[in-house]
Amino acid sequence: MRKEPDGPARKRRSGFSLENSRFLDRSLILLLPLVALEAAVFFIPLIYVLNQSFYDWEPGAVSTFLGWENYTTLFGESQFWQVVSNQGYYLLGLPLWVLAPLLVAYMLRERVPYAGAFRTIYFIPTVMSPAIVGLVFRSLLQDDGPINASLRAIGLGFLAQPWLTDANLVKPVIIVLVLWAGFGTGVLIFSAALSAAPQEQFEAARLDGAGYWKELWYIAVPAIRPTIALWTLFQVVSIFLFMFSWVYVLTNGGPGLASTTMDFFVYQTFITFGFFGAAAAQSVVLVAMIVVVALVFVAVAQLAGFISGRRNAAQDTGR
Amino acid sequence: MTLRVERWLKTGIAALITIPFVVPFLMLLSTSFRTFKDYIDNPGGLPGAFTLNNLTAAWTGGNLGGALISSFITCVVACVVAGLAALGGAYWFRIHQGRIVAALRWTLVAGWAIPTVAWLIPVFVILTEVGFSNSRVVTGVVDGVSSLPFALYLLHTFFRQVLSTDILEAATLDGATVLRTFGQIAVPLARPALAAVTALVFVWTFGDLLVAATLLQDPSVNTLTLATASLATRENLNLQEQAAAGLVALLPTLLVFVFAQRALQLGFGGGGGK
Repeated sequence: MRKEPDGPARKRRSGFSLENSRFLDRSLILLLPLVALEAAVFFIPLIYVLNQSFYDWEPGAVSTFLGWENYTTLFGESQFWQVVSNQGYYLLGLPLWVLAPLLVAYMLRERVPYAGAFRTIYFIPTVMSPAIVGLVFRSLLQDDGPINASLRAIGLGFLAQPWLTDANLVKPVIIVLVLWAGFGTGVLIFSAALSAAPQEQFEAARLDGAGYWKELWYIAVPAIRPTIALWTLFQVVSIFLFMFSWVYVLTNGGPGLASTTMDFFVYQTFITFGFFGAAAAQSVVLVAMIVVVALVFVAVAQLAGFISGRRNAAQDTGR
Repeated sequence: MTLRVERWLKTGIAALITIPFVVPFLMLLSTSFRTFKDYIDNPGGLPGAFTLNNLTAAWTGGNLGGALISSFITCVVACVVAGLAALGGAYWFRIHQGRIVAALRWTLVAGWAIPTVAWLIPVFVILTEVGFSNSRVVTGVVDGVSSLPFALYLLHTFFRQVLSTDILEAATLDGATVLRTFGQIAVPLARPALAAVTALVFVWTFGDLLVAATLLQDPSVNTLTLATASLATRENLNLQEQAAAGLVALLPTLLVFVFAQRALQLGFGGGGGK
């Protein structure tokens, strides 16, 4: 795409200017549905939830004002801290979720036979319902399920495990399943970024005799830094946003609370137990957790030089 | 190591990685079509006896036919809502610039990071109060909105690539109004990205469990994903019937995957780099 001159020069040349176009004209009708829908479903409910978190919220009846009581109760519950520590544990999967697709995208970079077909197969989970795929894995991973049965059949019975019912095993198993679900999307995004990176650098490195791993670390990774940062952020936030279906069908949060995530915890509080005020407070805490984790991540990524300040990051990721 | 050997080695590794993506589906297929006794005799082995009973038991026991209709209603509504609202908004953001406009755009995209449970509680309470709980159309609208931030991001990125200032300027010089430029230039140009958005919103809405489980609690309006997930928690259903239900619930999205594969990959910046 050609670089367009912006600013006064362009304004003078023609009647059209992006900066100068009026705010309140008839084109607003194109924007209104988007803003109205998001406001009605996301932003107004979120403000409402914040308000209701200070009440003993009784839908359809009188709600009593409680002040901070919902929050103090929540912070005093050992269950809540167990769930928070689960969230922290799941984040340990982050290196795996980033490195695995990065390494495979890098491996498939240069004219590997059938690379496109492989990428397509890895991509299948992206369109699959986590709820249904979770059901499939639940039956595969049962104590007497096919995976354990196969292990026993080939003489590896000692590896057979109660995968989803052992409190120490269930979180690592879920981390691997999250990798399974996101791997193909990661490979696709990294492949696209790698093919858009300037190829001369790779050729120059090769002429200099750089090996396979050096080329990865010194050429490929720096060339696609913003993409790596964006994918990592996406994975960090996803672990707070999209775990409900997996937990619901795989373990129902168990054994005990061993695999419960925040979103599943909130759902149980308001659908199973009907404590709407408590659930509102939990949601506010969940939103706060996401904001804090995302900000910490952006700060770390900036320090590590993976993104170079907010303005540039916004531009890079918009490409 | 010669280049040729290296390439085939890489192909071999890549092929090994496909195993965890292919085997679960093969196991699902074989479990769905084998008899209970055959499975008990040899759960890890290949099926020895073929039957369609599991499929019919799951289909009738879980009212999967009705659930399929519910899924299609919510999916179509969600695709229309997300597609139209994001298309108009993405174009508006293409032709307007400035600090406030950018802040508004990032706010609308950041809606993606608001956890569903947080906004779903008041949406559920309010919809119940006004008598719209168990409405598949309203649930479709909510599902569509939950995909709006991503749809906006994707379409706006696409417009920035294909809709150059030169094109917009030429249209303005020709005297075309904003709405006319939108309808006659932007919409036709956006077709590939719109296909990606439609395919993604379809599979996400189809696969959604949380919104459906909250807003469509009456079994008569359960979506296929929800009906299948609730089937699996019932005691009177064996593993083979559960697998058959799972197979039915995966087939529609598999079809979308087969027919809209290029569009879907475009949605994640792929498709190139062949």
